Amino acid sequence: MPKKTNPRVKLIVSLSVISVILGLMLSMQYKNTRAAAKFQLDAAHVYDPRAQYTADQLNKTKETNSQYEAQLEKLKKQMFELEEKAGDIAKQESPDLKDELSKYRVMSGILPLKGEGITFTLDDSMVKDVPKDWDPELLIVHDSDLMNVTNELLIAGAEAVQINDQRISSTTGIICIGPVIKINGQKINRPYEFRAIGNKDRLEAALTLKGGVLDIFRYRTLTIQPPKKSLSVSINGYSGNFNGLSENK
Amino acid sequence: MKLNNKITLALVSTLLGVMMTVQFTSINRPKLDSSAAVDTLQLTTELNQETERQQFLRRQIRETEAKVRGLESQKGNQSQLVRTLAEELEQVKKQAGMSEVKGNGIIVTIEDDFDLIAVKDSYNLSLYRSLLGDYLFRVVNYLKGNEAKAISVNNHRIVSFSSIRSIDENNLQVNTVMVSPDKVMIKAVGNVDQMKVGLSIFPQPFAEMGKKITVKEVDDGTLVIPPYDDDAVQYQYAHPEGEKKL
Repeated sequence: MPKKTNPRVKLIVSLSVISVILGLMLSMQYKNTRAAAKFQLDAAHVYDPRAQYTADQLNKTKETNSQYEAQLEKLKKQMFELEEKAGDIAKQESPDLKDELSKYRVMSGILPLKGEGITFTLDDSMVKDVPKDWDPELLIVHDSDLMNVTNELLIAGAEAVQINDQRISSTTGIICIGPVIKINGQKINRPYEFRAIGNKDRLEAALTLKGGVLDIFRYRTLTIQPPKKSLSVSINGYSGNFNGLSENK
Repeated sequence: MKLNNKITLALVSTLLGVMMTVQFTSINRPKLDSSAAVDTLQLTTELNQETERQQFLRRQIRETEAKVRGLESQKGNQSQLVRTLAEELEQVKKQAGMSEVKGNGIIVTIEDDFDLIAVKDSYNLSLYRSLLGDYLFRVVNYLKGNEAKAISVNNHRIVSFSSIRSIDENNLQVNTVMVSPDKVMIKAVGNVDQMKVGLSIFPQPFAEMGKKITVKEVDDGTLVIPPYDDDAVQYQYAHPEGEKKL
């Protein structure tokens, strides 16, 4: 028995050694090409030092801004808490003050909110075999699509709407400048996640209506994650400057 | 032998599989955004905006700090607290669209042009005309995205939850109130030049509806945008984070 198995085992062992070596070679190969690609990328970066400088500056500024945003968020929380207490004290003199303040803050959009509602996501088409005579414009999500969805949600009684991390306020524009979509002056990237607070059944019905927006998007083969109803949708506070409205005394 | 054979094969293929996986994941990971370094102009614009935003945030932080200090120092003083809160309420009402805004701005009129209607194919015309609400919502968005501070459509103030809806060709709703679609007047206070730039894309789609769009400038500060006209703003579903009810 052992005499018969020996050559076979040998063959198997040598085969496995060979495949291990092959595998290692393959991985070396990949590593090499990766290094080469990275080198080329670095070269592209060095190619335009001014662009690189601007990019670095931009990243730094963005980082500082998000720190400031966090700081402001904390301060506002502190202020709201103090106002809560102040409102209770002021109640004897002016009973509606506290409630009105809270209500109009919700309306202006500066408060983070929570409530029943829906979320859903929209993205460009991932379908490869669309008819050749189709306009490629049909396959991507435009600012007008985001506007239409927002409008539909508001028509259905949404009390607050947010796209990605941008809350829709009284001065929020959804516009496109060249190939980028901007909301509140901030660039937003696909996929586009909608969050809306309101009657969840009505909101869902408004989108999934036969012949409604989602049907049209589906026909265009856009990528849709259908509306999910939830009892607690969280929405950001608006942190913009109301296009200078507040400064205008 | 058969078992040995199987084991070796399994081992080798597992090894290969693991190696391949590691390779692929490590190859796919470094997705450097090479295009970011290319477009200097776009970068510069973005940098300017972020810098502006930084100034705004700094101002906000200073103001909020001052308010916090004020509220803390007034703790025992009831009438002073009432005054502070009332001032804050004025500010918040302004941001919510609950107070009148006056200033420089533009008046955009979108109305039927019978010369245009006469030359359009009637089927396409009514198709386009049923989209009036969507297009008006776009006009409002392009004004907001181009530095409009306050906007009204047929004297209905645009607020955070405003919608514009075409029920059909002849029925239009703004803020759920019926308005006439024949002549729509949009008033906007804000940066006049910038708002006009934002409107430049609209004449063509409105022409498809047999409508012409005209823009009139008001530069003596007399354009008035009325407040949102429903005093009974009620929030049924949305609650501030942390609070139970409004």
